[in-house]
Amino acid sequence: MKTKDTQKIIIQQLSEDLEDLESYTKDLWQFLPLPTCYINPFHVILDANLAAEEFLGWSLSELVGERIEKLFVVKNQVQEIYKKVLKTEKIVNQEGKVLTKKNQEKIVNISASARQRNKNYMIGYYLAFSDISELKKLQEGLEKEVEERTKELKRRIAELEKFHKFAVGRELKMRELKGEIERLKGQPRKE
Amino acid sequence: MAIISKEEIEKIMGINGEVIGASLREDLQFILEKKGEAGVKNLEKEMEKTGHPIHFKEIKSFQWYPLNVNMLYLAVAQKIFNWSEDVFRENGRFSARISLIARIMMKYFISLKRCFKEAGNFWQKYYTVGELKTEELDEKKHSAFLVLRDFVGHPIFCHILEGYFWQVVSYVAPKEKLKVQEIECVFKGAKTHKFKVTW
Repeated sequence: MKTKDTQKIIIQQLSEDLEDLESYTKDLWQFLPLPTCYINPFHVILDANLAAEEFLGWSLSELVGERIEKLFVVKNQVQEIYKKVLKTEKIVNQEGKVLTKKNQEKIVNISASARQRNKNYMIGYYLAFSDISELKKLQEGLEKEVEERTKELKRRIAELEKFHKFAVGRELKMRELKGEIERLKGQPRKE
Repeated sequence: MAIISKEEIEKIMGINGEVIGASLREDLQFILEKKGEAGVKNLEKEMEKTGHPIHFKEIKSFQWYPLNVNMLYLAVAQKIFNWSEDVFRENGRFSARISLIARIMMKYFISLKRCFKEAGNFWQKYYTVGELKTEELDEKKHSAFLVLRDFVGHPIFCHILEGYFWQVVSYVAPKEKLKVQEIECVFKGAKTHKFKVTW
């Protein structure tokens, strides 16, 4: 009888510990500011954090069960990522494009990490997206500006070259004329 | 007066066994999604009338609760929300998507064989009664049977199971042709609940 009571107490304590662990995991998972999903080897989304829900626009229950390809603009990038994760267990900052629920394309840096069972085989992988759309826009804007300025500079150089050519040509002509004058001055006058 | 008859309440309350709190919390999330806070309050109010009150927000994920109360609130929910079989299937699919137990079992969603092999283990994490087994898994013919023995439940619950099984199998099989259908039921005179899974 005593053993049964002891077992009951142990079970109760374990249940409470599990509750705490659940709460801790949930809080941590939801706190992570980086949109993150957990995918199985069939490329099916099995979990997603709050940041992923907010970034992608789908709720957890809408995301879970969907194939991860749904989020990618270039669908076969998923296979590429999976193969790399299988080989290297990790990917850091690989550029890609994802689609949100509102069909907006977002440029992201993708990081991935394998989840293994007893360090034997991969049972899934985590995918994290870092939104670099704004950064890319800024970069593209800067590149465009640099391109325009380079164009302007080239135009100015061409103008200068033209002017230089014209000025030098004029100078040479003047010199030629001066020489001609000198030459004519040195000649005796015809009566 | 309770929304369901005294006889039905008594019949449901005769069901033995326990269910893990996480399962009830999944149902709570579904009701919240479908009917909001008002729906939950309505259900709690109706449960009180049956003489078996339940306070969903106080439920703890890893505590065990009487299975009969679980079946009773499903029967009450069907009446007050006028939910069809399909809504309960949706409830099952939703539960599997947000399930804490499914997250514990994620390590087995790596192949069809492994997933079906762990069906019994999966069941035990949810219920203290009943035994779930996979029979005749045929990967070439794309079919399998899930057989649930020593479990009565409630007819509505069979539809929840159809939805839940569908969702879990969809993690390892293409869902375009995936079907889960109960082909034998304790409530239709059979000895077991038998589900045919095809994909």
